[in-house]
Amino acid sequence: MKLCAKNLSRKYHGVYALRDVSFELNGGDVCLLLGPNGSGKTTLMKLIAGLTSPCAGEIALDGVPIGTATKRRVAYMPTENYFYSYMTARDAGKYYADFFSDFDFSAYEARVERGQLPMDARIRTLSSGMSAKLRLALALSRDAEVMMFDEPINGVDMLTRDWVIEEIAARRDAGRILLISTHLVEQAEVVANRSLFLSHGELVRAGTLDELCGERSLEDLYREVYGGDAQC
Amino acid sequence: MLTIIKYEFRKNRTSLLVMLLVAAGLFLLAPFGKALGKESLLALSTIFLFLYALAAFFYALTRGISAYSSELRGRTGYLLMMVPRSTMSILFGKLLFSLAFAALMLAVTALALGASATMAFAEMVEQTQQIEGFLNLIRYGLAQIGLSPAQLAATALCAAVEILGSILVIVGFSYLSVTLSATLLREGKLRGLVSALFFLALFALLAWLENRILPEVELYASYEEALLASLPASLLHIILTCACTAASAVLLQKKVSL
Repeated sequence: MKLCAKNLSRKYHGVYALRDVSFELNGGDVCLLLGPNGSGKTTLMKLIAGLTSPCAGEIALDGVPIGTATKRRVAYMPTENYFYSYMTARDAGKYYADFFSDFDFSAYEARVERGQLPMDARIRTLSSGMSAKLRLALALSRDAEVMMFDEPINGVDMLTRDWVIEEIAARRDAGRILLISTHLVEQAEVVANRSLFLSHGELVRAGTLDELCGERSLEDLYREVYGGDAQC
Repeated sequence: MLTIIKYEFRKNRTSLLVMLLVAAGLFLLAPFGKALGKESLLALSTIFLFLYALAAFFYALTRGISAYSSELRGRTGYLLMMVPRSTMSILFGKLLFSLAFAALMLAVTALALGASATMAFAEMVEQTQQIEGFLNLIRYGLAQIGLSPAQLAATALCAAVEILGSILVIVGFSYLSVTLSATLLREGKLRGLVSALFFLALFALLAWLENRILPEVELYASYEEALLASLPASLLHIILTCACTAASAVLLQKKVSL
C-alpha cells in the first residue's frame, strides 16, 4: 500500500497553507507529522481525508486519487469536536457503524467504557479531554488502512496518553499507514519510524527517524529545525 | 442516500416533534369548540391551521438548507464529508430530505386542516340547513364565468404540478447558492448575504426561462390535457434541479474546504 503526494499545494485566501509538498508513505509506516502551529499539518490530514481538495498537485492512495473510494480506507481523528448537537457517544458510534463497514461497534463500546465515558450523555456536555477520548475511540474502532490522528495525546491525561500510544502501537502492521500529528514529540517517538517536518506549509525534512536523527533525539532535531520559528 | 436522509430526519427530530405537537394542539381546538358549543373555537382552529400549514411547510423546506449552510461553516461538516458517499448522493439525500420533510408537514397539517374545516362546515350546515343552497351558489358562480367544476379541477391540477416543480427548483437553487457562497468565502458573516444574492440571481434566471419557454396557464377541459400542458414546465424544473445538484456536488468536492 502506498500513499503518494506530489507537489501538493493548498491555498486559503491567497495564502499557502501547504506548498509544493511531496512525500511517499508505505504500509507499515508510522509517521509523525511535526511542525509548529500553522505549519500545515491539519491541512495535510484534511487533504488525505478528503475534507478539502488541493489547489495544485496530486494525492493518491494506491494510485487512486483521494475521493469517495479512498474515504472508506481512511480513518481520521480531527482535533476539534465535529458531532451534531443531539449526539451522544452511542449515537456517534451508530453513525460510524452505519457509514463505515470496518467500524467495530462492540470494540468501540469497550473503548468508551475503558475511557470511563458516558454512553448516553450528549457529547457537547463532555469536557475537552473526554471528547478527545471519544474521538480517539471512534477512530481506533475502525479497521482502516490509513489511520490519521490529529494531536491524539494533547489535552488528555497521562494514563490516556499511555493507552493511546499502546493502541497506536498495536495497529502498526505492514498493511497499514499511521499518521500522527503531535507537539508531544518525546511520547510519540516511541511508536514512529518516520517523520515529516512541516514549516510554513512547506516540507522541510522527511525520512525515517534513523536517517533524520542520527545520534540525536527527535526532540533535539525538532528544536534544531524549528528553533528560529519558535523564537518568532 | 437513504442513510443520509435517515440522519437528516434524526437531526431534526425535535423540530419535527414540536411541529407535529403544535398541529395536534391547533386541531384539538376544533373538537373542544364543538364539545363546548363554541363555534368561534372551531373557526379559530381552521384559520390557525391554515396559517400554520403554510408556515410549517416553508419552515420545513428551509430547515434542511439552513442546516447544510451551518455544516459548511462548522465542524459538523466533517461528519458528512468524511463518509464514503459521493457528494452527489449527499446532496440528493439532503434535497430529498427537504422535500420529504416539507411534504410530511404539509400532509399532516392539511389533514388536520381538512378535519377541522369539515367539522366547521358540518357545524355551519347543521345550523343553517342550507348546504344545497351553498353548493348551488358555487355552481352558479362558476357558470357565470364560464367554468365547469371539471375544468376548474384540471386547471388547478396543472397549476399544482407547476408549483411543485417550482418548489423543487427553488430547493435546488438554495443548495447551489449555499455551496457557491461557501466556495467563495471560507469564513465570514457575509456568506448568508452572498447566498441570498446568488439565490435571487438564479431565481431571476428561472423566471426569464419560464417566460421564454413555457406556455401560459390556460383553462383545461380534462386532467390529461392539464398534465400534458404541465409537461414542459415539469421537464424544465427537473432538468434545472438535477443541474443545480450536480453543480453543487462538483463544487463541494472540488472547491469547498472544511
